[in-house]
Amino acid sequence: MIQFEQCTYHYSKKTPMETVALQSVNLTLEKSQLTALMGRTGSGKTTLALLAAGLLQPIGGNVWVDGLNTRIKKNRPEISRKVGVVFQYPEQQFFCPSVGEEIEYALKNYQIDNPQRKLTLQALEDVGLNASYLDRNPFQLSGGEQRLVAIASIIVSKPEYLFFDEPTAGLDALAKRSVYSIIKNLEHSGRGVFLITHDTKRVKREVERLIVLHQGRVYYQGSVDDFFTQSHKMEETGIIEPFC
Amino acid sequence: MIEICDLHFQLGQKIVFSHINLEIKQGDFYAVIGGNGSGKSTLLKLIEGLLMPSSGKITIFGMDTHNEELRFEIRKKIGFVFQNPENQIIASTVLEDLCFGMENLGFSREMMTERLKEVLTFTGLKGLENRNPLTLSGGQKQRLAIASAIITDPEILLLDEPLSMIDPEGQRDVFKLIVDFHKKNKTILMVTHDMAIASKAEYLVFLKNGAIELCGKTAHIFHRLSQYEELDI
Repeated sequence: MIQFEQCTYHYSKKTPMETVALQSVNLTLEKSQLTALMGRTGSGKTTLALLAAGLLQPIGGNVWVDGLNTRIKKNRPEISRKVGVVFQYPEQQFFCPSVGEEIEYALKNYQIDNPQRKLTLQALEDVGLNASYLDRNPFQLSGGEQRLVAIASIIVSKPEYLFFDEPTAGLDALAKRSVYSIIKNLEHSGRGVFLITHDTKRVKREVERLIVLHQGRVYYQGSVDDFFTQSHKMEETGIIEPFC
Repeated sequence: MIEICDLHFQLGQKIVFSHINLEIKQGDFYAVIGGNGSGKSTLLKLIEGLLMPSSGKITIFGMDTHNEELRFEIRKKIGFVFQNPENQIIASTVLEDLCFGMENLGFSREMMTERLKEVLTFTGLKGLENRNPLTLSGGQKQRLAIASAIITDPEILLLDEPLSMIDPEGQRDVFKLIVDFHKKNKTILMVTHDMAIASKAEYLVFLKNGAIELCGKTAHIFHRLSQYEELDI
């Protein structure tokens, strides 16, 4: 499990631009069921994922991943293998000339030698692509295919916890369905999957558990259905249907 | 005022548009929809003159985008807003960001002051002039991107998924801003995957397999879209 204990994080600390991202957050994330993280822009959703992956260190409190404190430097390689983050528009971070190399990069990074090509093929299969993609240039794929390759490059190292930050932004309905199907498969394989999103419609349809962040604090934890029956909570946290 | 005549556009081996035609009149509000890779963003770039047709032509107020001498005049008529506002924020304060386009187009000091006053009020950015744009909320950043695009008072506003990266409240504010700008008899072309947003446009153009699959008044054609699985109806 991932535990946030009195966790605080500020951006641009001790500058005129200092911004409170998270304030004394106590939260436990478990591998139980697909969980959506929602809240206004700037409510701390992405910061929470970055802290869980050890990519940021709290300025107050602690974050523990399966008992490993993210503050301790020697824990970080193991934490980064345990926690994967699929960033918004991950395909913008492609830098390899072929899909195969792009996916294998993580394996090389984690010094997983054995056998890289087999794991890469498995990851491609897991996102619904086949071996014909291995030698293709990732920059010449469609937007939907690029997103799938980007997800494959994260799941290839088999992280136990996965944060997806707006995974379907900019995708058409077909590609969205593919991404949600991958997310569901990851959930069923026993991973902890956390979905950062503004897509109220999809959350209602696909997710059961919800965590709402508001002004850097945990405002709600519970079932999706319960939250969406409380209109005052929806208004207060800005989780609304924009064009009703 | 935007005329697309027999437009063919090819990127390497891939045919993006195969001989399409479209006429958009002053004051029209179009949503451009279609699956990934259907050419929605490419269409906007062709209209802006950032890409050139392989054959056929696009004219803006009668000016052919092929004509290099007219390119500056064409750009003055068009404002462009990208999906991610951070990709078009270039200055360290809101004020500097808003002035950049006007300085480029040679606006006088008096004109700049007048436009700033009007646009800051219109976009609700008044009071944020000295803020670093990167410290604004997602909705505020997108409003700044739109403000920077409309401050030169273009006749046409092209928007590429302007609401996809902001929260629902921000979406509501930004969409209202787009609608308010349209009410000034401005022409809007907005790419979107969100059918709820597309349904609010006056006209729809649906791109598929290098062609215009459907085009017309939203009220007349929206019901026909449910058969297409790439659209999230």
